[in-house]
Order: sequence, then C-alpha cells, then structure tokens
Amino acid sequence: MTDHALTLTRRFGAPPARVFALWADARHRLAWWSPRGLTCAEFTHDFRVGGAWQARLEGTETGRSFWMGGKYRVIDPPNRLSFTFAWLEGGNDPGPESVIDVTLTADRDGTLQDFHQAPFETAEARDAHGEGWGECLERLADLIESGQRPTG
Amino acid sequence: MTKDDQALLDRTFGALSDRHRRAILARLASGPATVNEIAEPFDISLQAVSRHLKVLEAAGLVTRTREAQWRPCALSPEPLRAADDWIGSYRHFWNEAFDQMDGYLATLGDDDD
Repeated sequence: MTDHALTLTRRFGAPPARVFALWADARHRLAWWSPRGLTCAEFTHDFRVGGAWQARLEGTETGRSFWMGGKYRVIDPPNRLSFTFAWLEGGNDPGPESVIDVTLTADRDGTLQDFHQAPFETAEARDAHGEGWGECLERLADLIESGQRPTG
Repeated sequence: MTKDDQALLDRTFGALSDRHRRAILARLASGPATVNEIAEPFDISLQAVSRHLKVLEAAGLVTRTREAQWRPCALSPEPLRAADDWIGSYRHFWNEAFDQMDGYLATLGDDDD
C-alpha cells in the first residue's frame, strides 16, 4: 500500500439513490454499519456538512461496546459522501482519525461504489505540530525572499 | 494496543495525512535520496519539501544524517508498516460491512420509499 490508504470498489444491484440512502438514513445504518462479530446498536447523526455522526458497535458474543464517530465533510446525493472517522475512547482522545470518501456511480442498473480511507489530521493537530498558518507564513517569506509570486 | 503504540500511530498518521508527504515516502520506498532528488518532481518549493521531511523525521518515518541538501534521507519502515497494517485491517472491516449492505439492500426490495 504505497499510498498508505485503502481503496475498495464494490458493485451493488440497486441504483445510486438507493445505495446512498443506506448511508444517509440512520435507521438503515443499524442494519449494516459493522463487521461480522459486531452489531451496530446505535447510530445517530446530524446529516449535513459539518454535522457530527456517532455509532456504538456491540460485540455479539461479549456485549462489549465500541464507540466511533466523526464529522461530515461532503454530502452530494446520490453520488458523493465524505466524512471523518475515529474510534472514540473514553471521551477526549479519539485516536488516529481517517477521512473516508465514498463515490457512487451508476453502472447499468446498479451502482459502483468507490470507498477510500486515508489518514486525516485536523487543523488543530496540524497547528500543534507547528504547521498550518505558521507554515503558510514561512512559505510566503521564502517566496518573497526568492523573488517569486505566491501561487496559492 | 499499548499507549506507546497508540502515540506512535497518532504521530505516523499525522505525518501521513499530507499527500506530499505520502509521495515523499513512496519515493523513499525505492531507496534513499537527497533532498534535491526528492524535491525534483514536486511543484512545491525545496523549502516546503524540507519542512515536510522535518515532519517525517519527527514522526520517525525518515532518517537524515545532517541538515545538508546532499545528505541522503532514508525511510524507517517500521512505523509505516504499523500504519499500513492498521489501515489494512480495515479492509476486512469494510468488506464485511459492505457484505451486510448488499444483503440488506436485497431485503429492502422496491418498497423502500
């Protein structure tokens, strides 16, 4: 995995609007939003850009709970959905965050779903590493020094 | 996963969250290179590449012997393997979820709306 990201492509035998509904409707998520051995016991979300989502997965054998959540970044029905994803451990530390991009494309009478998951860093975490605005200003200073015009 | 493993994964993910850094790591995967060699195919400045290398160094993903442009940078593969294993483990997670999605779609039929 040279780009350190995960890409999965899957075809479903239903049109994009129906597949998108399985992502968009919290009640539908309860039916599939878990791997084998876990069930999605709770799923709540504020389905809009910037809105939060949260889910509780429960072990079918152990009954143990696992919380996960994130925020929506792109909602473009029925073709695109993007959101952050992290396991929520006891409140403050969500652990490494990833960003997930889902693209649904009509494929004959079905849907081709492209799923992409990559590491994600919030602006806050970036700033904590000394990047973000600091880096922008440094970059601007370098460009001024070298006599070039900033490109963006 | 221990607290140390978690902290390392956090740092690794922070480093991996930038596409330029991922591209730099891909370049170093095929062998050590100097900063100039690394920067050559990019459309960002040498200084920007250097800053990205600093982040990668801080995350323990890249080693550099000196602050000189002609000194080679090399990949430290262990943290990357951990990150790749971690994100790769999601493959089963999502494939199983999508299997359930497929089965569920079939049960919904045409009376979904």
